[in-house]
Amino acid sequence: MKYYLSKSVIESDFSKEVARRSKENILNCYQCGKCSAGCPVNYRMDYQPSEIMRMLQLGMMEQVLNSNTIWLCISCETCTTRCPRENDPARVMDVLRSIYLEEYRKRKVEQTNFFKRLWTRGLKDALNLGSRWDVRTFNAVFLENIKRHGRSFEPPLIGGFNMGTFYFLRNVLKAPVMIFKRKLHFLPKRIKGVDKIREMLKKIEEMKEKGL
Amino acid sequence: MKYAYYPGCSLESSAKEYDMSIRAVFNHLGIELVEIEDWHCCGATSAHMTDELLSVALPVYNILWAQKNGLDIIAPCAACFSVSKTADWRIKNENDIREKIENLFGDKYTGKVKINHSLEVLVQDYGIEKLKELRKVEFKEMRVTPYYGCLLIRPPEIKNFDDPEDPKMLEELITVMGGKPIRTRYRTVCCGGSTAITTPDIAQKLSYEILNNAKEQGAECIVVTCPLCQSNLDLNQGDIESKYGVTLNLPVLYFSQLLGVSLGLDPGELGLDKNVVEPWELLSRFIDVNVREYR
Repeated sequence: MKYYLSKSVIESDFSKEVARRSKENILNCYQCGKCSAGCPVNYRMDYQPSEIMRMLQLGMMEQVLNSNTIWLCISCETCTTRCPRENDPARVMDVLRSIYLEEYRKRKVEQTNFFKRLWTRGLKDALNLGSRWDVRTFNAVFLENIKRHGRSFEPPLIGGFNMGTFYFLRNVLKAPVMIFKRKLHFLPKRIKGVDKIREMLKKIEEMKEKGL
Repeated sequence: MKYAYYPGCSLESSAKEYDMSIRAVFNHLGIELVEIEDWHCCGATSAHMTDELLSVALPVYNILWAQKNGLDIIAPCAACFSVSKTADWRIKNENDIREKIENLFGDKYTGKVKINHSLEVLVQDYGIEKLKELRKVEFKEMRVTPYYGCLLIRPPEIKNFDDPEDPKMLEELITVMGGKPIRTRYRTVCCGGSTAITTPDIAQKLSYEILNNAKEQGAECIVVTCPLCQSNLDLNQGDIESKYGVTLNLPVLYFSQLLGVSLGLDPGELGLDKNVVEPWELLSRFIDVNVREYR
């Protein structure tokens, strides 16, 4: 694909911001491709990990934040182990996900045109119901679960995830085996110190607002 | 030897057999495990995918408990082990994160607590030779594939756990138990992890490759160290068989379960009735097992 980059994109602060937050030397990457070759999910990504690093070097924020690569990364750290420049692409993906969530909250993510998305990625991704939505919903439900009980409690986790992704009967055939083998509990076990955790989460939010 | 025990959320529910087998084996070997009082979830994948500070701050309360009691931690779950070890490393090596943690928790974090995985405690700290002396059942000619997964061995600077591309700890354990380790090239490739829930086709494809390769090389069972890997390879085996049209029938056991059988412990105590692909056909070659008791 051809990209026409304007001067403002190349000179933008995006790559410096990502380098600062991830503490990785992104400009160091010389595109050897070992990260892309070793990545187990590379067959599903629209941009390979080494392409994402190159785009970061060029400041291409729109393409990087709208890719599905950052949501498909499973943090297996194969890329980190093999990078000859001792960079950590998995950590860069983590930072990009955080940046996406913050920008999304402020409604500042510039999305590519709906029809272009429809053409290149199909209806499900165009309506933003692709892997990005699934992964974000799962993470949000998981963290909410911890906030409520202190430990992860399976039925509302799976139930909440199924509702949030509109696929209500997902994995429902696995439940009988788990119940039969007594591996699924239906009574929540709230820990005593759950207030401690809620307080800590609130404090982290406040620190982020202040920009620390 | 006494350690603080951090089971993690999976070992209480979907990986109950791992918890049962670890407690049974460590009890038999005389290593005391003190469960961390009122421990909470480490955040696993979701915390570090959302926010870095959250993923570093969540394990700290559990580590502080162990620090207060002067004990090192054993975390059998590979995700809890990974998250806690990464948090510990980042607090020690990155100044801005240490400042933020001090802001949240005060000046208490000393970093003296060592976070172990149960496998390294058994093989290195307890000693593999001592395990050989205590062996009661020898698995002669049982072909076992070790499967390490990702979080235990990578990234090497943080985990310090054997070689990241060519690990040997599980093979040593299998040899000591008398079996024959079948080393496949998929033994360090990711099984898909939490994509089993979010994007199941990825987990199925990756797990299929691991299982198929093991079967082609003649393995009779797979030994794992992580509850999520076990769930992906075991619970999904039926789906993988029908999707790709293969017959696998490979029992997926935790290393502590196999070790427990080798030390002569009762299969019910080790939770062997809770594995989805039943291991009775395989184990009845080496021990007397009344299968009806467990069905």
